[in-house]
Amino acid sequence: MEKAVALNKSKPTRKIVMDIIIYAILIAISAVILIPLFWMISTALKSNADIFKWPPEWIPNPPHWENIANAWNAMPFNKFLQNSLFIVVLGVTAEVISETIVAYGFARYDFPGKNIIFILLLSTMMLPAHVTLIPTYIIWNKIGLIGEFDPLVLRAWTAWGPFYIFLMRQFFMGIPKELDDAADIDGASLPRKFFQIMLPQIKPILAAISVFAFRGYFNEFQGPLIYLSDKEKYTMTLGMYFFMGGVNEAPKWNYLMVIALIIALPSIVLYFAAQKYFIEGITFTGLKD
Amino acid sequence: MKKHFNLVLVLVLAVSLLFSACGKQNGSDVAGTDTNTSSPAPQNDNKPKEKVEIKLSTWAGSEEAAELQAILDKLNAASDTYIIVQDSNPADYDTRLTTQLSGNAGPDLFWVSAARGAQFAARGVMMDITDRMKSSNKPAANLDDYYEASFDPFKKDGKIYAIPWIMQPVVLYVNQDALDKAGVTIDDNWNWDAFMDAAKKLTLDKNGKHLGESGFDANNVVQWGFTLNGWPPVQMFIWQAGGEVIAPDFSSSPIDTPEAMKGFKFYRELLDSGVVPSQQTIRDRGFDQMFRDGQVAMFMGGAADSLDTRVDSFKCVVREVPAGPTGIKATFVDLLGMGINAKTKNPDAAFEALVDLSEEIHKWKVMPPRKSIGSLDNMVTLHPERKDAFAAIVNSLEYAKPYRFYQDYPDWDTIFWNQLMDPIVNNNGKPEELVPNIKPLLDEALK
Repeated sequence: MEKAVALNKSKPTRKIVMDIIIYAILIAISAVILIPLFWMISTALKSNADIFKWPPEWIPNPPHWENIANAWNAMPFNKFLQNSLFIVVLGVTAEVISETIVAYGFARYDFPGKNIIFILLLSTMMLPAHVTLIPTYIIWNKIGLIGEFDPLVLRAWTAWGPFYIFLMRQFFMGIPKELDDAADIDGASLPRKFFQIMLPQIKPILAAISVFAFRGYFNEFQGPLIYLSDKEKYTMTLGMYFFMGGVNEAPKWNYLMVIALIIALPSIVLYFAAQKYFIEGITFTGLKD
Repeated sequence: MKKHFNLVLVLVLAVSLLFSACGKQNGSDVAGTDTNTSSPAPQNDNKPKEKVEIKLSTWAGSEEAAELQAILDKLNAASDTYIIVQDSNPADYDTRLTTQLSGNAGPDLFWVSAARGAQFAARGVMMDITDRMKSSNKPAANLDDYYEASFDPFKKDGKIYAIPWIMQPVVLYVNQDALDKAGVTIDDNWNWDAFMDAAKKLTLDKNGKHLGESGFDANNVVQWGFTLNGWPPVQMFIWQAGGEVIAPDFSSSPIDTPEAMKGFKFYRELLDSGVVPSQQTIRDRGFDQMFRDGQVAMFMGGAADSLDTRVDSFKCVVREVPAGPTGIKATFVDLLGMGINAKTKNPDAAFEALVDLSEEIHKWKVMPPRKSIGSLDNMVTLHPERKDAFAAIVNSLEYAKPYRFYQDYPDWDTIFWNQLMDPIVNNNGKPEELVPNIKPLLDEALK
């Protein structure tokens, strides 16, 4: 009896100890992840002279709030943001539509060579981006669209994201085929079946892919770097690099961090806004066979 | 309903295509395309000649790009031939330029580093401007006015492929307040021994005792005499000792000669003697930042770093780097140039723009590669804020040398820095042990 009481007493104690350990580990991991973000905010609000102070100053004193306006106004960032959003809206829309259609085809239809094509599609993920950089550039140059937004947007209509197609295919495969059969029996056309029956089932993965794609397009550097040559068409990521300095010009780290923070913000906000769907999407929950 | 869905799909596609196509400009990114931005095409000879658009790619940052634009505005207004359109971005410049040039596009004019210049010259990426330079009567085309070394990276088999626009020798930035306090002077006998002696006197612990003094606390150093982290390049010290790292005929890498070994050993000695902070300390506190913060008393940097005007917490002056043990003076010079895309469709206008723009940049940057503009008096007139620095900078140009660049120089350079200098700097090997093993690899890279 005494032993049982002792066990009962030790349980909460053990639980508290375990909780403390778990929370300590989680706080430590969070700190590792959040320190760069905090450093970015801290640097953004410092004068250039304070950035490299030793020992480092974590809380800027005084905070230079004017850095935000100064950085934004130093280059035409209104235009850069407009260009980035233009590419993001068209790119994400195109990517989600084209890849959903392709994934649906792979998940629901049988056709000769389907598996080989799918493996080929996935194998393109293994190609380093630098291998395709020049051939792709030559293609767009031949078409005559270098210097325009087209290479950054039109490619999305070709369902060029094999990883997203793979994710969506897996998600479609988890949806009972009986739903398709029921729609067929009710006489639904293919577009109606796709848009009205299937798409509502895959909202979580659509949200997840939209967040991924948004981040991809908004943060993209290499594409705009190669294809855009008119400052009027520069994106946020390209504009940010103007603060890297040059010959006779020191880098403006504080301005660089202001813009980096502004670039990071939409992704952070979008992630929190779509968190529910996002988590569901990437954990493959939802309707299963 | 089916029609409705199809319509929506078609509309989304059409809108996407339309919007992205709306972003089109009148111009094109293809090099040298005629993009007559002024009036319609002339119908007869009485009408004014149309200007040709010349695209210029640079790595200029925000302020530099704005200053460059002011120069371009002036040139464009004065020229009847061209309009130079600036496309500046410091972001990953090399990747961008090489991709564009490989894709048979790219700008008409572009800034190019010395290493890349040698590659481009060898591979025919840049236009041969030798004859045009000789026949032009513009001052920037007068080859006799340039320092001889300034064209080295941009020449191949006697042909010229680019015009250098900056020649930046490595000079010594000195914390004069610290030198005065330590009683150190820099005189005509400024050689390795004097330099090492000064660096020791300038390495102070928290009690104000210097390196070598009785009671010096090596664990609590608050000011180091000098700093090294692979920069300044060891080649400087090897040249000062009378050695070479690449033979003039590119046949071998004579890094095992007694002269070259002297250079390597002095480099290692600087790192071992305690006058230089540990590599970890340099990484933590920032290389040049330690000098700006008064934690390092002497710093070797490019003349264009302008630390003498950028540091205000102490009096910063510019001096020549020390001579070698036998009095040989040598310093490394970084060169930047500007070339013409070999595939430009407007070679005449591009060359005219190149020469005119080079002339203006020579007046803008420190230091120009030309003797007439780069004379002491003229530099003081052009940049009065640096009047005290120019004596050392102009003198340095007399013996400044670039690396011996060649087509595959990056391959040689990778072996030299990764397999030889990295272990030396990070104390993972001694020069006398490493050099015999690395020399055959460097020789092979030259073949």
